[in-house]
Amino acid sequence: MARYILKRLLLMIPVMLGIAILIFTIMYFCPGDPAALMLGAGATQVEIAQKRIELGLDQPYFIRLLQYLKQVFIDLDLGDSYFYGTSVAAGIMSRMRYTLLIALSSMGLQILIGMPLGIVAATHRNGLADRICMMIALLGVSIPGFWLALMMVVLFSVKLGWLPLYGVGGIQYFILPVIANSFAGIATQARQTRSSMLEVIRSDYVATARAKGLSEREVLFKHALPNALIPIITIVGNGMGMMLGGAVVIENVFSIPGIGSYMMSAINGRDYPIVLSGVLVLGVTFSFIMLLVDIIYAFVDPRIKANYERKAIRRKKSAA
Amino acid sequence: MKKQAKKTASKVIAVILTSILVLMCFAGCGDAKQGQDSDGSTSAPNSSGNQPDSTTAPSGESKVVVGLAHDPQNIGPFQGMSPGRIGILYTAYEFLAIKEGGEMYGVLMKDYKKIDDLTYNCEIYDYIYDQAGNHLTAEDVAFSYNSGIEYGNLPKLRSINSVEAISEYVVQFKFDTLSIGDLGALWMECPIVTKAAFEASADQMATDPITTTAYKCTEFVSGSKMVFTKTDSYWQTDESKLQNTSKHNVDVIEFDIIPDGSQLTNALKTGAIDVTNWLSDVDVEDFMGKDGFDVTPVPDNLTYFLVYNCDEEQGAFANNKEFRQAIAYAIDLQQIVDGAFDGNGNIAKTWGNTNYADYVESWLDEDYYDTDLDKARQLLAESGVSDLNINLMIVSGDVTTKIATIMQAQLAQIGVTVNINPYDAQLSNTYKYQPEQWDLMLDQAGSTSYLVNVWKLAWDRSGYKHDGAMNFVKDDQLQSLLETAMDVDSHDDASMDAFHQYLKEQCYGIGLAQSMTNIAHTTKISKIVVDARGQTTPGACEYSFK
Repeated sequence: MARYILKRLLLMIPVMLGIAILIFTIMYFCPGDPAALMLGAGATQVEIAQKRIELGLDQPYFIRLLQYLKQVFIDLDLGDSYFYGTSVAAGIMSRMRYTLLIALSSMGLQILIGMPLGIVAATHRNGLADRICMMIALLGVSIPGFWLALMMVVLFSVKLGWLPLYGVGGIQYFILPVIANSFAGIATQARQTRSSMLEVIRSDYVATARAKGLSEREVLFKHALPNALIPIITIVGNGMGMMLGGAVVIENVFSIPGIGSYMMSAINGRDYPIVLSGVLVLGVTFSFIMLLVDIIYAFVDPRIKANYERKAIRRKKSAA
Repeated sequence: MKKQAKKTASKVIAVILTSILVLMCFAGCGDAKQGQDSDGSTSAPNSSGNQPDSTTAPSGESKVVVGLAHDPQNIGPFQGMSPGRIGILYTAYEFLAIKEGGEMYGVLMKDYKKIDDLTYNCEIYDYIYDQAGNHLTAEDVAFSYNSGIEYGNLPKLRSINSVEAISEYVVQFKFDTLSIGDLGALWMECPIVTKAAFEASADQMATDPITTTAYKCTEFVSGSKMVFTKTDSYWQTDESKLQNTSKHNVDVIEFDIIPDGSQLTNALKTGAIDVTNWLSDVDVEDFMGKDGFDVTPVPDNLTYFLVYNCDEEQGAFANNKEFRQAIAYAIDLQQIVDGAFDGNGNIAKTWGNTNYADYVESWLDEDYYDTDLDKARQLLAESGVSDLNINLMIVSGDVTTKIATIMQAQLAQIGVTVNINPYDAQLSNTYKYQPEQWDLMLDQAGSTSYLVNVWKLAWDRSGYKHDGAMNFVKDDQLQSLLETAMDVDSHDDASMDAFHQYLKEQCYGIGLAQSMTNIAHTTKISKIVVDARGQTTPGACEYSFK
């Protein structure tokens, strides 16, 4: 298992390199000039050209790419923002906590609500509860997060005055953003859980468990659910990526200074160091999450764990 | 029985969740409990929910909350201008001088003296101290300007050859070139800080500037808010010398960053913020004439303009004055003001507006391509142009899209088909230097000094790498007239009028309209005061705290 984790960690290096090259190339060919923005509307074309030289933006593609890769992977420096002159690493660090807080809370809500809804729907297949749960799920996948966010603001902040409109502070500031960010995830989770559970509930071993006289709770939670977890965990892992991405919009609506709003303003301002580093950091975060998901597979499903162990035994034998 | 109970419970939960969802769907409709009257109009604000009350700070001090749509991110002194920084700069920093009502007044500067055409001595007050107690001297002013030049983000400083302290309170500026208005612009361009405070700062004052203003930054949450608190030790105690940007009529100024337009409107409705000048014209209407709110319109420095591509190879309008004039005569400027600005604006009578001291009053009574469709059709026929499909490049936005759409309809009346190409500001900034990208360009320009500097931005060929003006035209007479108007010695009504008449006759570009910045605020603010850039100056506003 440890060998597998190490192998996966090493595989992340080319993944990071690939992300860095890809996003650098996209940003290089993306039209727009950060120098013009930095100097404002009053700058002449000559002044803008001078600023481009100062920033090294006049260099050809390959030179800039190599400089960037050296800076990130050898010097371990994410650089400074063109526009704000501050360290990008510091900017990301100070903002990452808000994004992770929203993403992880949304994930928690997705699991806590989505899974029970899916289970209820599966155990009451074609019944009223199933239909209601699936209607909620349908709405969840259909309603855009930003619209839901604005509607919740109108209701809970403007009309009822229960929750703050925007900003960061205590836990009350994160309630609406987390609900808005997780709603689509809850729906997806509910649908996936229902589908997995339905598949498992029809299995012979579940029928056997019932025949043994086990209570419905024991049948569901001891026999059915553990076997239905693999696709559910996959959805949770992928959902984390969606949560990180979705936070960009939600942060903008609720004025939360997370990595999403940081990148959004950087994209608008063509602040390349922030965009490149932001995407890289999100990519690495997502890679770690997927690694975590793979490890969890092994703990949830003994067959996967046994597979890793068999491979290790085979390797030892062949080495002997 | 137990099974049945669980089944019922799950149904109840599902029904509750559905009800919440349905409630949210209808959240935008129906009766209002707070913030809105039953007719959907806005009523007096009250602090909503857990959003802090904006009227007073926790300690009972008077407080104003300003809503910003853009994040300043870095409030260091030498980072240049941005839509976010423009709103907070005068609260965070003091400058040598400022402009009020077109006149220049010293802030840190006591007086200045011309030594020769390109050399000026600036004397500062001898009792200036920053918030850390550092005494500000001429050395600090020289340090600030030299740092500004070194950082390279303040383009107006590029005309400076050298800045040095020649005595404890006198700084000498030597310039390479100096046009009309440059001097005033230079005094207003560079924030002044003490060298000691700047060097003591760990982050080049990005988050915790130590400055000479009456307000000290006491809280900085990147991307969220900045709080400035009045100090007890502001250096300028002579009230007769206090300019607007140095006034301190409120104890605490909080700037909240709210990028989403609808959230900004909600924040003002609920009293979470007190003032903002970032609302769209449509949203501003919610606050006009409503109890507890007021809207103060401020004429914008910027003027919307239309420019014709006159590049010799790519320009659809090169060497064809009739075609350019035909377009100009087909456009109804009053329709633009009515349609795009809801009537809150003024039609342009030159490449600029009346905000500037060197605007010539007689232009207001002149014919400036007053709409004449027959003449437009006649000129179009004389132009001999067969391809009447033209590309109009705009910076995407509500107002520019409205203007472009109105013009599209107007030009269709003379048979010209306009394809509107909206780009974001950065892309447009790149494409405007590429003649193959556009035939017509709609943009806006302004200046904090003189009208001639608005002209300079567009028509001075020395500012462009292609040796043409903004529209690639290489007209020596235009350049010569501009240089005469820009020259300190020959800048007068006659030289201004000569350039204006020539530009109008050649019709390389036309001014369209001047919009208004609508500053929406609660009646807690009884008088709005703005700076030279049209931004609210919270310290100078007048308040009626209850």
